[in-house]
Amino acid sequence: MRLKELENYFRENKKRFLLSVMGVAIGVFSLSLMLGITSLMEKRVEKAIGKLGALVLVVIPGEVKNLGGRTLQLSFYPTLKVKDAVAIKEKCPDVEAVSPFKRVSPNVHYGGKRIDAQVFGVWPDYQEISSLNLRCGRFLTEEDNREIAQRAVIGSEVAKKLYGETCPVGKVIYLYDAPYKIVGVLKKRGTSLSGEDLDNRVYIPLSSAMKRISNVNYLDGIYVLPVSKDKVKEVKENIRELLLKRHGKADFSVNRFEDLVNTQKQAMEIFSKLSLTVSLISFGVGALGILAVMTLSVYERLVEIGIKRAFGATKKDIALQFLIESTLVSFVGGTLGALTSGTIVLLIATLAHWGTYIPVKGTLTALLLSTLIGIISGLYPALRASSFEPKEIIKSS
Amino acid sequence: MTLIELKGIRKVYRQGELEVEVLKGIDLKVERGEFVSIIGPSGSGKSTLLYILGCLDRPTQGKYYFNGTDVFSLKDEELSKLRAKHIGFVFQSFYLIPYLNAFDNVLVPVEYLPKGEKKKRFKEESPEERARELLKRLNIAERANFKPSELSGGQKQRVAIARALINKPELILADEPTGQLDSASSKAVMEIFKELHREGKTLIVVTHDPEVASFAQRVIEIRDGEIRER
Repeated sequence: MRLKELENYFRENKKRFLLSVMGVAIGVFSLSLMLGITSLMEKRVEKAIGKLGALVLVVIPGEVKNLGGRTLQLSFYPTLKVKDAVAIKEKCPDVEAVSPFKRVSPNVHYGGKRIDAQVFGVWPDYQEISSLNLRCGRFLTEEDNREIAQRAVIGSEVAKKLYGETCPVGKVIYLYDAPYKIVGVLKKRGTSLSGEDLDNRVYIPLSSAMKRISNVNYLDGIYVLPVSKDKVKEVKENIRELLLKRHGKADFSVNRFEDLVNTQKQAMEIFSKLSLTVSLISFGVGALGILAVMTLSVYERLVEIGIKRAFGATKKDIALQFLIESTLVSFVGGTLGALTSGTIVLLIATLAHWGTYIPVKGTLTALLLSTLIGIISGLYPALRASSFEPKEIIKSS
Repeated sequence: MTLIELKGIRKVYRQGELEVEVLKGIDLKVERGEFVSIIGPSGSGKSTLLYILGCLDRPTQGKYYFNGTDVFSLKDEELSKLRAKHIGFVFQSFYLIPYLNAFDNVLVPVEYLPKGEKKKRFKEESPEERARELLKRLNIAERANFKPSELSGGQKQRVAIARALINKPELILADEPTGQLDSASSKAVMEIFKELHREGKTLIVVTHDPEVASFAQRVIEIRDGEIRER
C-alpha cells in the first residue's frame, strides 16, 4: 500500500521527483565511475606488473627524478655491482627474493631467422619477483648461474616466431653465434604498461649476460621483493642504508617498481581526487535537494498528514513514511547513477580489450552512500511532518 | 450499553492574557447504537466537543470514558491506536488525499489498524474487497479509479464515508458533513447515515443546520459551551 501510494505521489509530481533524484544520481555516477575506473586501472596495472608487482622494489644506479608526471633516470653511473645484490640478499631482513638484471643486445636467431627480442640476464629469483609461469620446461637455476651456463628461458612470442607451436625445450637459440640451450618456455604475459611486448624476451643467467655477452661488471638494476606489503617501507630504507654504507654516497636510488612503470599513476590520482570532489559536491547538492523537496512536500501534504493521524497513524508512522520516501528517492537516484557509470566502465574495459569488468565494489559503495544520504536528508522533513497535531491541521484548513 | 461518557469536560483556550472558556463542564452519555446530532451556532464550542469526542484534542479538565476506557489517561500512541480501531471520521472538507484515486483513498485507514486487529476484522473479506463493496453500496463504484479532483462534492463525501467505514469502527463522527454540499447531496448523505444507524452503528453528527440535525434520533443543542438536550 505504502509503495503504491508513493508511486502515485511521484507520478503526480514527476518534475519534482526527477529534480530530487538528479543530485544523488550525479553524485553516485561520478563516485562509482571514479571507483570503477580506478579499480579497472589497478587491475590492469596488477596484470601488467604481476601479482607481486606492487611490492617489488628496484634499485637503479644514478638518480631518479620526477619530471612532469614522468619518472626519469637522470644520470647513469656504472656503480651497481653483483656484490651489492648479494649483500642485500644476505644482510637485509624481510627480503623474500633478490634478482639483479642486465639487459644485453645480441643478435637473436635460429635456423637462419633473426628476431628482435630483448635479452635479460637474471637470477632464479626473478621468476618469483615477476610471477612468471612456465608453459613447459623449467626456469633458470642457481646452478645455471654458477656455471655461467649457455641456457635460456624464452617468452611465448619468441618461441612462436622461431619454433612454431611445438615446445622447443631442448633445442637451441643463438645469441650472436653462441648456442643457448632452451630449458623453458613462458606462458603468454601480454604487454607492459608502456606497451612493450613481455613475451618477446629471452632470459639467460646473469653471469652469462655479464661475462659472455656484455663483458662489463655493473648492473642495470636490482629487483628486491619484500616478504609482505607492510614491510616494503622498512626494506626500502634498509637497502638504502646498506648501499650508502657500501658506496659512501647516494649514487643509486631505491624505488617502487610500480612507481617507475606506472606513469599514469599521478594522472589517475588527480582524476580520482577530482571525481571525489565532484561526487561529494553533488552528494551535498542531492541531499539538500531532497531535503528541500521533502520539506516542501510536508507542508503541501498537511491534509494527508492530518487525516492519517485522525485515522490512527502515530507520529512514528508519519515520520517513517517521509523517511522511506526520501530514502527511496535517493536510492532510485543512486541506482540510476550506478547503472550509468557501471555501463561506461564496462564499455571502456571491453573496448580497450581489458576483459569484462563490472565495478561491483564501486557500485555497492555508491548505493550504500545514496541510501544513507536519503535517510539523513529525510530526517528533518520526517520530524517536521510528525510534529503536527491532527487538530491543528484539520481545524485550520 | 454506554459507549461514550463525558464528565465535567472543560476546555479553556488561552490567547495571550485572555482566557476563553469554550466548554464549560459538559456531561454527556451516548449509548451504543445511538444516532446523535449536536447542533449549535458557530463559536458555540460544538467543533471543540467533537474533537474531544474523536480523541483528537485533550480537554483542560474532565473525564472521558470510551467503552469504559479512561481516554485521556492514554499516551499519544495509544490514543492513535484507539482512533484506528474504534472511530471513523467524516469532515466538511472531505480531506481526501489528492494524488490517490477514490479506491486507494478508502483504503488509507487500513494500514493504521494494529496488525492483530487487522487480521481479525478482515478475516472474511480482504480490505480491497470491502472497499469495493462500500463504494458499490454508496453508489460510486464506477468512480473508483477517479482522483478526488475529478469528483463532485457529493461523490467526494461518499468516498470519505466509505473511508470512515472501512475499518468497521463502532463510532462515526461527522463534522458538518453536508457543509459543502447542495441540498440533494446533503439529503443523500444523511440518508446514508440513517441507514448506518439502522445497522446499529453509533453516529454523532455536528451541524449548524437544524434540517440535517433532524435526521438524528437524538438532538443535543450546545450554546455558549453548555449542553441542552432537546
